[in-house]
Amino acid sequence: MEGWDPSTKSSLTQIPLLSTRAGPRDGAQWTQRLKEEYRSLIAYTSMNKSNDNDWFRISAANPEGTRWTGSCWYVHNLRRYEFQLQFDIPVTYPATAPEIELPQLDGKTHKMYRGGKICLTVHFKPLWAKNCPRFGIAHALCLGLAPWLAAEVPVLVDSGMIKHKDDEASSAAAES
Amino acid sequence: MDAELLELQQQFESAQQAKSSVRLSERNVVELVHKLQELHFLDSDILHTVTGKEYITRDHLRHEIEAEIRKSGRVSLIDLSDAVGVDLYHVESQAQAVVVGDPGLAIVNGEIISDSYWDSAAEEIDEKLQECSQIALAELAAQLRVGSELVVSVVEPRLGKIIKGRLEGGQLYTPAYVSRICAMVRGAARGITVPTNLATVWNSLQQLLQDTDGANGVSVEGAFFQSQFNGLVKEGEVLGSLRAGVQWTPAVFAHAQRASVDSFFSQNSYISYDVLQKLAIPQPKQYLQSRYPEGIALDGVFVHPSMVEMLDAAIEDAIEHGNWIDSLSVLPTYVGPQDVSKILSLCPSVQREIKAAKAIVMGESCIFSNSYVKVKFKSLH
Repeated sequence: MEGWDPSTKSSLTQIPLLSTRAGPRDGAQWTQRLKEEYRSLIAYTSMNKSNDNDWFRISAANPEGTRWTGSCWYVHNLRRYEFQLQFDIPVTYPATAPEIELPQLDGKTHKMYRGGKICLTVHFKPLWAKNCPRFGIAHALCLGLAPWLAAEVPVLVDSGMIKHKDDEASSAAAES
Repeated sequence: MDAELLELQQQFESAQQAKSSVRLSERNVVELVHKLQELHFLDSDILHTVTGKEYITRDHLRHEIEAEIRKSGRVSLIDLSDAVGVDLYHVESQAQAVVVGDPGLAIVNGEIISDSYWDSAAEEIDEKLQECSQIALAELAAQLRVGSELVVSVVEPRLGKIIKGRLEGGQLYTPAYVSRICAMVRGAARGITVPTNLATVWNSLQQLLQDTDGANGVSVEGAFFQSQFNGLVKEGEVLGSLRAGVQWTPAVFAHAQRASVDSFFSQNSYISYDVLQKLAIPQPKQYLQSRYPEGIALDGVFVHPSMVEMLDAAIEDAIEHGNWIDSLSVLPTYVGPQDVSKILSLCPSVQREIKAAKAIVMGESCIFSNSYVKVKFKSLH
């Protein structure tokens, strides 16, 4: 687990691990897996809340729980930048990690695949593979999206690629 | 759909909706409080602790100070400042307010001291006093770490109430100790039969006390002996007279003096000043004059008028018989030549005869009748 900052590491170790190895096509097993996903997400969310480190909202977009949508935000220079968040549970889950998408940032940074899928760190994939059935959505968010936001949002803001919504409104007003 | 799954879904939803606990950094809070103060939402008189970690209002500071005082009854402002963690300046100003509001408190040399503290201190003092039978106030002051004047002001009103003893010359004594000293003084004073300087007596008493009490025996000041002594004199327990505050003449001595002077004078009709000096009467002439107003004070002796009468009779007799007389042979040996002429001047017959040229005085003391001189001249011729 080298290469992660200490706070990520400490929160990661506190997220409950999962045990059921099942993908969306595994029927009742998948339901079991989904329950575990919810439990770990609940634990992760409440942990974030108690540390005043709440940074995302997600919910299952379909009853099967294979598509998830929501939002995430990052506070930079005392301003909150919020982005829409979506991802699908791949068929080969949990062997394959979900590919988290931030569609609003599509094309704004090169650390991203087409469609707004974020480009995860080199550390993420092997770690996920190693902890195959035990890591879930909460771990993916914690290890994948959170460091990505921390690394990319400041660069994007400073380079002017993304603007705070107040600034956008004011600049739009200035233009019209 | 699975009921448990639904349940979990809802739980997750509510977990996400839950309000996240607010975490503010110290820096933020300081700024917030500052802002509140600026906007006058808070009373402007908010103090902060020396660590800078806490805010405290003046009222609460006062409460804390009161609580600290209640703990032991005595607390120094500096310790108080440490204990409540507020700057000394504020502690001082609030302490003033506390003390003003409570008549049982006082600030003494940077310490707040309550009356109850003094009461308990007085109890301690009393305990110690009963143990040692006497304590110096200076010692107490050093023990309590306060000025001795303050100790006096504290001890005095509690004498006889909490502290069972008496204060004398900067020392506290138990009644038993006082009566012991009193007994010593009385014994010494009654034992003295000759005029004595009291300071030497006190010194020897002190020595005696130290010998009996050992090393821990405390020195009793002469003034204490003196006051005891004065009390005894006043009560008539010892008789005598005190001169210049220190010279004690016991009554028994004065009595013996007077008796011996009286007996000598009445037996011999004269008394030499030397004799009185031997009896330690410092001013014999005045003493005798006041005692025997009819007596005649001469340079060397004091004589009774009967002496003059006797001399007068002898001289008259000598002159009448045509004879001569040496007054010195009649007078006691103490009478010197210069006194003789004085006595002679007091003899009425001598004066009369000399005036009538019936007698002449020669060599100061010898009286010759004229007839005797004539007879002598004739026989010479």
